[in-house]
Amino acid sequence: MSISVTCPECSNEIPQPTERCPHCGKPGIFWNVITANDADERATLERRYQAAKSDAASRNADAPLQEFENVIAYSKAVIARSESEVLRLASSNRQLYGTYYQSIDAGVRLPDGDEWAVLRELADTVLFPSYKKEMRFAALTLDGSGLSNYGSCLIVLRNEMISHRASVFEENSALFVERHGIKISRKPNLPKGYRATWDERAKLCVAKLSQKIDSATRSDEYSDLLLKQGATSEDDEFIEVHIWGPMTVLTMEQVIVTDPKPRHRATIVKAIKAKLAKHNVQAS
Amino acid sequence: MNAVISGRAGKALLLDGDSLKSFDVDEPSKLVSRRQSDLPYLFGETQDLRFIENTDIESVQQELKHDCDCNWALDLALISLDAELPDEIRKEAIEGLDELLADSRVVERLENILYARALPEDADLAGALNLCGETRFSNAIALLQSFQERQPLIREVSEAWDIIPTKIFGGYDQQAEFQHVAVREGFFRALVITLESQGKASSLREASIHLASANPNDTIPMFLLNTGLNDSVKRLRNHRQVLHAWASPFRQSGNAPKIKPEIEEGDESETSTRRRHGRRIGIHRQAVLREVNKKKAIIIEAIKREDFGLVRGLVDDLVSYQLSNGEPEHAAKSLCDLAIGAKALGIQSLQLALIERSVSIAPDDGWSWAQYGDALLSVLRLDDALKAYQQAEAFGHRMIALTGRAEVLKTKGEFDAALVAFNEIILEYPEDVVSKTGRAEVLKAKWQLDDALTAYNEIIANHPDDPIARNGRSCILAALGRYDEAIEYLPDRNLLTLQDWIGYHIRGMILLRTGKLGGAIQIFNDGVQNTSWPLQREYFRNALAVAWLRGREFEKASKALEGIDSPQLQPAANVLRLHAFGAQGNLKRATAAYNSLATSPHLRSNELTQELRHQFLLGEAPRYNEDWIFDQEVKIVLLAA
Repeated sequence: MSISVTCPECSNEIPQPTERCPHCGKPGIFWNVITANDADERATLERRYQAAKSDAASRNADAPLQEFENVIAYSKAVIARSESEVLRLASSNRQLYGTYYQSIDAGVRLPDGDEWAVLRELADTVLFPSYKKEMRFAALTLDGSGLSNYGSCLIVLRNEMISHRASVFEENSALFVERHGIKISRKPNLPKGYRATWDERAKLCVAKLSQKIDSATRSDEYSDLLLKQGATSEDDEFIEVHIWGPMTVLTMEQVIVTDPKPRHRATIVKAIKAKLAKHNVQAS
Repeated sequence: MNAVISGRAGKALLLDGDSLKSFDVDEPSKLVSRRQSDLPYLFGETQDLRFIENTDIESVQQELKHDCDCNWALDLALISLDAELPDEIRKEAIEGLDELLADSRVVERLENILYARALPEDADLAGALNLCGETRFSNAIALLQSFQERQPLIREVSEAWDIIPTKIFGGYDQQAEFQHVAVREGFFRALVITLESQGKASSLREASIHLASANPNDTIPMFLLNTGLNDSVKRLRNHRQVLHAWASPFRQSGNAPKIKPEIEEGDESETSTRRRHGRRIGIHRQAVLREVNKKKAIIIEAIKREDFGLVRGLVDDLVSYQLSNGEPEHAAKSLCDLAIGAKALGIQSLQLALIERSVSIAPDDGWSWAQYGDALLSVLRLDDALKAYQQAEAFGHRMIALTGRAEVLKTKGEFDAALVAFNEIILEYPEDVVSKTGRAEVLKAKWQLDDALTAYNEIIANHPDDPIARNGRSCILAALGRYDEAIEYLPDRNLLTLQDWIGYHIRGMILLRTGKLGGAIQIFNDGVQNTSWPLQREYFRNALAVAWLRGREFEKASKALEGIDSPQLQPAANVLRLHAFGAQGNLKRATAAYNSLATSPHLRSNELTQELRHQFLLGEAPRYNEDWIFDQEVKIVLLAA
């Protein structure tokens, strides 16, 4: 786990969680990306990826898997939010998209003893030591579908606005930490090879999903393979996207309103669409 | 059943035992089983979670619907004000808004938010009203018109909030949290409406609005009182200072004397008051102060003569004069001074009346509330006294409020709680002599004689003239049989103050204990008939009962004890009742007296009490003689004093 990196500009050490070199001021230090880019992480992921490819070849699924990998290269990050939240974001390019921890700081509290909150904080502490408050979460999508339990508006993000500061993770990180029995310690026993930089997200998807692809898999099935909403949240299957730092309406590429509601919310959705259009964000 | 609801998410979670179920506002009858891990997915990152305890599903449905309505109303209001949006959408929003505003609770919650900040320049309120005119939606029109009319006040209240120094909140995070609570609880709206009602905002300063015409509930003091007692705010750091700092610009600029009644115009030249921009400034404070002091001295003389009709008229004149020439707080302070004078002269009813008037004039004046607590304590309205002290603390007089509270606990006979309270005050205010004497008195009441004597000696070493400490020390010395030391500073004439009468009572007890029965009874009768303090009168009754018991006048002793009602004196009185009724063969009353001591275990287990029980309730042969019993009874009465 990186606790400091060498500044490419001045060659001095940059400690976590600072976003810019404290010595020369070089900006753009995104620790989730640095961690995903760690040599051991990448090597382990590469081994998983090659093993998946070999396995697919042995099953005569290498061609579909390669096609899947090619398609995944065009995947995007998607966030689901309520109409009200999207209206707020759409109202001005100065409205920021908050994080879970900012919500907590603002006074939002889940009931005492909520195991999920504990689990989530545990996972974030392990995955994002000292910088969890900077992280925003999304899911990887091919067609704009998302986890609508979070809200009926699916926000697809512009790749060019996040690719330099986003990383991807095998699955819901909280459940991953629980399943692997990971505890907080100086050196948490966090398995390597389960995260990747944005540019290498296809490798992670291949490593994770190759077993579900065979010679009969059609390209129109890729989207459901990548993201599948289960009966409960624990049954959801998706690649989690970790994005460092703020987002605004200008980070959005498209907003898809699912399950449109009547009356007041219909008016709100009309307003959202009108506002988004002014920011060149598609709405449907 | 408990529930968590979010108007933003439009969802409710029901928690009933181990069961977790949710429903959507659109389908309230469709319950979906949930697990804890579903919660973040259910509510996402909404910031409006609300927890409802001990409820039922119908109530939750209503609450969720209401929260959703409030959220939609806010969204629709913002859409209606947005000039960037097409008129068609804005009209549709106004229509929806109008429908939601039929519920007055939605109006209030919406205004709680909208009144927290002045509208930004690009908000199109006029356009929204025009669209309302076309659509003729009355609820929306009323909301937007009020919003428009109140913009100057909203701006002033918002600016007053912004200039509160961050350090008063404790930091930026605490400031943000406080603002969040203030908006949610409707404090911005309340202050705007208060100012509007009272005509105190700067935009209304030029108007001749008389204070008397304002609703007394719509005053800055009432705003401070109501907000200061809000449970959410009470948990916030420095909440009183924050609220006072917020309201202070309005109090300084808009108090009644400065909003000029017509009748005062002619007086201006005589009081050397100048005007600038219509505001009255430069009051000749020294002249006013001299006049006030003169009036107060005359009133005190009238009180001394017990000419209460004249006192009433003079007090009216003083209050009127001060309200015309200064702040309400000044008039309140004068009334407090007079009340203290009345208390010193033993006229509790007048003390209470003056303080009640003081509190009504300046309900945000902590000192007045503290004096009110003291007056209520004097007349044994103990629960009311506690409330008054709570108010005193709420308005910044913490030390005196805590001391008053501890005194009330002591008067209630809750000695352990009182001792804890006094110890805490001494820790917080180590220089305060009142809390130290209070602590010593509790030790005395608990019969911890050596500890009490040490405590009094320590106080007297630093404050040799403190009458409370000196009386307390004399009391302990008398209980220890050191009569010559005890009587050295005790008065036998010129009894003016409460402490004079307490010292007189101790002198009587010493006379009684040293066999000077006639002199003792004279003192006690004098006290019963002539002291003005109701509680002190009861102390003399207790002492008189001991004297009658000593003379085997049991019926007279019983009668003397009949008039003792104060909780503080009941334990000692019940020991004496056990003796008086037991000796008369009235076992029912004697048993009742003994049983009443259950709440005072230290006295119930006392050797004297057990001897009286042994003799009179169990009918056993005496184990101690009458001298011993008398000696113990003197001690009980002394230490209850």
